[in-house]
Amino acid sequence: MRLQRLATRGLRNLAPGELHTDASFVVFSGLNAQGKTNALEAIWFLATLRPLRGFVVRDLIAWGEEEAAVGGTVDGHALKVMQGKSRRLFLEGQAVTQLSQYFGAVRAVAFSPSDEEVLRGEPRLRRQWLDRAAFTADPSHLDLVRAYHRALDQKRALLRSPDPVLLDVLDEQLARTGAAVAEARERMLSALEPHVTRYHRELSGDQAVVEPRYRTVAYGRSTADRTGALHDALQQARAEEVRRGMALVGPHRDEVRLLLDGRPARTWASRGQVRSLLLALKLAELQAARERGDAPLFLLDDLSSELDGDRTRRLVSILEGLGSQVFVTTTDPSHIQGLPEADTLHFSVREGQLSALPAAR
Amino acid sequence: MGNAPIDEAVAQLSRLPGIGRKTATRLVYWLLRSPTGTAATIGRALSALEGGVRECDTCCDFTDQIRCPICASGGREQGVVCVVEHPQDVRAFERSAGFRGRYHVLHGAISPLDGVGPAELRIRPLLERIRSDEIREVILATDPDVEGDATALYLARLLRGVGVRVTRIARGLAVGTEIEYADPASLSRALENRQEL
Repeated sequence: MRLQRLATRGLRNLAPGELHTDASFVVFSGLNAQGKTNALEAIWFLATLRPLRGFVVRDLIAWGEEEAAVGGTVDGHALKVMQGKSRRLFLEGQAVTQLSQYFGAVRAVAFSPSDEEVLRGEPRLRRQWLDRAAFTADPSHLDLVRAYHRALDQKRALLRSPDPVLLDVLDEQLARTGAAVAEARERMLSALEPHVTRYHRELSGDQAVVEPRYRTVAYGRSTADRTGALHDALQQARAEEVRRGMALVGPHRDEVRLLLDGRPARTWASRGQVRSLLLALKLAELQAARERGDAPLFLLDDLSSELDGDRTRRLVSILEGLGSQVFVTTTDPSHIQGLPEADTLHFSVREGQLSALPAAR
Repeated sequence: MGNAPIDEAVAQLSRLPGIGRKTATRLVYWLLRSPTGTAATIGRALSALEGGVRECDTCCDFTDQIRCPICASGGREQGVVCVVEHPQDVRAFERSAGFRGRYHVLHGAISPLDGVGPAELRIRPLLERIRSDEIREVILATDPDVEGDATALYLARLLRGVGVRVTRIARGLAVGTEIEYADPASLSRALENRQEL
């Protein structure tokens, strides 16, 4: 997958304009607070319709603007998103009504230093990370997760004045969609498992074995088994759920764990291990995509702060092998060693202005 | 500014769904420029909705009769009832002209979040109808979203052991879709709901 052109207007501090980005590596360099990450923000928004960092969609719109627009050409297909009070999507100039149609045309994986929270923070963040990965692999995962959460919200509302037949109905829906959510998550983790230890080792020199584990009440060999298991668990929890007015059982409570030599990385991993582990997970995601015949865009924020020269060189060579187009931000491009300069585009970022730099430095 | 009839008309029109203050103002000025009698004609048509329109005794669709034309017609298959959420859904099925049975309009879908439970829907009239009429099959044609599915599952439970065939409309590919461009969710549903040839 190749982003050949990127155009933005009214997005954060970026000056309106268009960039040609048709290269395997695209580097945005500049001092802090100049808008480097906003360039990635634009690409991520185009690909996922979500902000990259922790803010809300509204914050993507520049000060004093009514609307932000990001357009791009991905593998020859023109995509555009316009975000004002509401959002409008275009594919080849036609308004898009079905989200999945849009997401069929573009996929992206991102790594940023703030992702540390995924490993360190509350379980919800790991479920969200895994759902994001499963969505990148199959956009219909989004519909599934949304349907599950909608049914969950309906159930929470119902628990205030429970009607037993209606609770049965909602639990049946939750068992069905919940089992599918759990199955997709577990499938995603299994696709990552064979690669994550290797990448972690290559990036950190650390020999530890990494095991991603998913703990769910919706377990089983087939979707039907999982549905049955979740349904039984819901039945057993019924009295307690009604008493406490809470939805206590289901994939919204499942646990994603990462074990480092058998111990939970959340509490045992050092800061350095957490970072290379996260990066390894993202690379594993790209490798799993590659095995499906896909190559999502890869967004790498603030690379210079992550790794030393040797490890950066190793990372670049891994990325070359993965075949994904890579977008990197850095304060100092000389930090990123081993880039194939003939296939790399450099942009400097200053006060929101992106300018192409000559190829050979 | 400060013209009481205009302000009142704008205020009333902007109560309608999808109509904001801006649109309401535009409509009011359009009416003022229209030939004399336009506003009155529209007003009469709207007043006739109250008192003139009621729910059909049989299927609960909106009608100006005791029984709607579809329920009153002798040419419709009596044994098959298609259950829908809204009167608009009846119009949609009728446009397709593929269905010769009759309808039942629930006037909504179960949604505890919005305070809509089974008691708020026309479920009791449906059950009475199934008990008294010669109904063989009930087709559940509520929307394919969480609320529509919940409503269909709920009705299916109520109708267990009543001795009617209960079916749910299929979901899958839209007519005219090319497989290559179909979205994955529709494609996997179409596969799930495949039929024997």
